[in-house]
Amino acid sequence: MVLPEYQTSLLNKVDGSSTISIGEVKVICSVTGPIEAKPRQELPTQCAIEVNIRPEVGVGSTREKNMEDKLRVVLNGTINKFQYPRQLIQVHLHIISKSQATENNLKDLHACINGAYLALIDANISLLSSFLSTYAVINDDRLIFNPTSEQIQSSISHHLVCFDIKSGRADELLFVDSVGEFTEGELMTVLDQSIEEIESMNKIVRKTITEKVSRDYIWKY
Amino acid sequence: MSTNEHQFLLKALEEGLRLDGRKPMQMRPLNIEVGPDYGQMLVTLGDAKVVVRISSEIVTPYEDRPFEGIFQVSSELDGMGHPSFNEASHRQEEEVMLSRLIEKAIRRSNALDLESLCIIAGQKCWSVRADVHIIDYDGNMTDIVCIGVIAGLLHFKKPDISIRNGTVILHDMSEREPVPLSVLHIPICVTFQIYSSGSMEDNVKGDGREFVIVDATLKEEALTQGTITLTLNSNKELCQMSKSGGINLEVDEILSLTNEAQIIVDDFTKYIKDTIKKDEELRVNPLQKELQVVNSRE
Repeated sequence: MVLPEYQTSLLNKVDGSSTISIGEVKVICSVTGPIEAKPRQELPTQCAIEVNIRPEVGVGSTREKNMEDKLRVVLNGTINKFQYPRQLIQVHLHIISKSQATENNLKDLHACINGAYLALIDANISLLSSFLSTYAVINDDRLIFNPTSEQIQSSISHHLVCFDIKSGRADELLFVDSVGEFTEGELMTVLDQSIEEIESMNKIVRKTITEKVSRDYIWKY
Repeated sequence: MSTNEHQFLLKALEEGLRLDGRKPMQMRPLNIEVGPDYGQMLVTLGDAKVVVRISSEIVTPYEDRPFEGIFQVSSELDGMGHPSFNEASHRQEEEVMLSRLIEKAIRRSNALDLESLCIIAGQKCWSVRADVHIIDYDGNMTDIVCIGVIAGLLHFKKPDISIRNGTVILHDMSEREPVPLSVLHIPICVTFQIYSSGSMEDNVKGDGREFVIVDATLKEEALTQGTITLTLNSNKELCQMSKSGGINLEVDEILSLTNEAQIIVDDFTKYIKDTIKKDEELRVNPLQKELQVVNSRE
């Protein structure tokens, strides 16, 4: 298993931030919130979630809008929205370097989801559950997690799977996005294997988060 | 900012003290982190951070400038840099000032030789684009964005091309060594904030005492009474001077500021060159070095 490299609390003016590198993909994520929502965003019983993704070159296009929508699906299911009525949580992501395999944006989205999770924790936003994603490809009937760009280019199907995690167990499927040709059986195998992948990833991520939280709260009572 | 804090900061500045312990004419530490691709870097000045990305593509040149390539700088401020930039009205003024200054400092001082970007006159040229994203806003954005753009341009390499029978052949980076841009000089902006101990009236009469600091943080910038940006290069050429409004400053004061700025510019120029040279050495393929038949020209 290739572990992503990550770091949190690198920006000073926002509530939470993270940077994550998965292979050649690098993303910076910042979270601001809960802050006052603009009148058109305000929801009476829950908070609004704003997601902005900026590409490495130029201004955002439909590719980024598409990723924003997908990321919003994940965040809507995990942020404890009723904790912050009439407020706004803002998530900004900047893709510093994108995937070299340009067939699809799943690898970038994979980095964005995990980056957003770390930044949300750094911002102390109330979450209903933890969540992590994995990216797998099926190449020559083999299932490869965290593929390299060569492996992505020669693969038949691509799967991005995101599970929520409760008590260290992958619980419900939050989001799955697949590109290419595959059978139902193959997808089920991907989902099964992803659970193991996510659970082992969670063990390591959780350890660093625990360390981080105990470092941040030095005034214990 | 509260009145108390405002007065405290001003009083401290008047006594030559700053919140972060710097001297009035001391810059925050500069750090440039070079990314894996050419022209990709993270520039840090104290707590302020920008991400720079230089990119190039082949386009048709402007009709009125057939012998020149195109160079664009786009700098972005958004909620990642500071939550107050969520409101477009607050962002706009800063953004306009920033892009105007960078435009004058780098484009109009001819730091990038546009004619060298021409491929076939009137038909094909390179378009170089610098994307600057301010991810952490902590005052003095002009200087840090300027350093970012110029360091990015120095580091960037575009793929080699050759022309055969009027068709342009673009060579892959692995096939032929990519070529650096021709950067003619390295302009660096240094921004000073001016404060006055007396009232506006004292300043006009020349009774008040002015004090100047370099590289202001966000808080220091918030209570500024005047700003002056000087752009110089290591050849001791003044590329740009901009002072839009604010309190008056004597001419000899400006001259001494130019000398102060020169020291900072020389320092930063050396740092930028060293960083890029170090990165260049890391990129040399050891096998390729061994196979080279020519002697190094340095």
